[in-house]
Amino acid sequence: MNRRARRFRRFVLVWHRRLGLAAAPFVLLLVVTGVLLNHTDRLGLDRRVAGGEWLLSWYGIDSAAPVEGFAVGASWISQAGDRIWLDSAPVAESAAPLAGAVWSDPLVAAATSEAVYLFAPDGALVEKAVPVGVPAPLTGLAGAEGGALVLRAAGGAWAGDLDLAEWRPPAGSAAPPVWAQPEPLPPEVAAGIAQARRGAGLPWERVLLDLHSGRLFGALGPLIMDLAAVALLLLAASGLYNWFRARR
Amino acid sequence: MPASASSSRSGLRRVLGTLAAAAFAGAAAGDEGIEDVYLAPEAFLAEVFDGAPPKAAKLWLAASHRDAIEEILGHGLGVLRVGYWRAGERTAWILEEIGKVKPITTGLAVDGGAIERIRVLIYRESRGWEVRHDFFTAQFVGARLDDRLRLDRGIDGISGATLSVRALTALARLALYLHRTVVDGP
Repeated sequence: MNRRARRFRRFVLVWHRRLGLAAAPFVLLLVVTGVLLNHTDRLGLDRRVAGGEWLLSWYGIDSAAPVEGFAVGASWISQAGDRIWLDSAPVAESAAPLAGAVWSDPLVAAATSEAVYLFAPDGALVEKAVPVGVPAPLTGLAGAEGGALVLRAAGGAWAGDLDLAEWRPPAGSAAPPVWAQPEPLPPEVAAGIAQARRGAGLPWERVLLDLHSGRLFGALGPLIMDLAAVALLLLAASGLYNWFRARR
Repeated sequence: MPASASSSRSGLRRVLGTLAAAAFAGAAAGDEGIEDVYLAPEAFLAEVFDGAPPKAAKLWLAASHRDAIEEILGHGLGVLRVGYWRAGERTAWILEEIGKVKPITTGLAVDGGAIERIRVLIYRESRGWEVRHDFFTAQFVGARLDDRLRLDRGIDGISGATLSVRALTALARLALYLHRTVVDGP
């Protein structure tokens, strides 16, 4: 009986130490973030915005600007973050890569690998159409006389117009298409896109809350913080036990 | 004592190791979707029009259309005109609606004001792909639009695919409305 009691005391002592060491970083995190969260107003943490690129990208806030785009008249078409941008305004959603864009009076035409888009000069999407009969993926776009458009695809070139209704191989007499080429995006347009993508940004209060709850570390983060809380409970129990035993 | 210290260290390493592995697993767990092309749009049109689809026609959306579309989808269509294919009283539409976060590209054929067929062409969400199966889409065949722009029948849902079911139901209503607009006039 005496031997078993000694073994149990030793077990509690060893695990008190292990749990204490394992829980220490989490307790430190909980204490620091908890104290800061208690004073967010005074510290202005709800107004200050976290600007670190790695933190923004961890939150899925990708504010990188495209480096290249297609000049369409006085404007630029580019792609960033699954969106097509006309200058620094998002005008369409597309995860498919941009293949080209041209000014085809009075509209802007753009092609991704999957579809053709027409935009009004103010950025309104006139139509998105999958060019039926043209084998995917589309790899280029060219403008031609009289609002004609030419798509480059696996099977060669396909001519159509702003109706986006019919695509046929170009007539033999047609001049060879001049495919739209990407060019470096003007810095002010790139900066505008980066600003628009960042939006209001990420307040520090949000980051602290997610650190405190563990949500910053993914789906299992809160569970780990729960385990740390249970570890604290066990520490208190084993600490009390050790204290009583030491007094006897 | 040294033996105890060593066992204590290895126990601590195990605890910390498990916690670190759990943290990494949690951080890496994502919700990546893949794009599944079930049927190419041209294959859908070939299916509807027996291999010879007509030239695409265009419907320019007026303000009244936009109001009705907003009522059906809960948001605008985001375009000024919609392409469609028409042969007599039959029309075919290739429309998109977001299920949870990504658009579901759907082909819809309408004949005489009733849904003739619905085919999910491209599915991009990670869950809810069951809506592409015939057991689900068959429910729409013959459905018509009532005066309140609703389907004249109930559509049974699929648990775990609620948002995709909702998206396809909205697209069926939209195709019927657009069909009515081009065939019967606004």
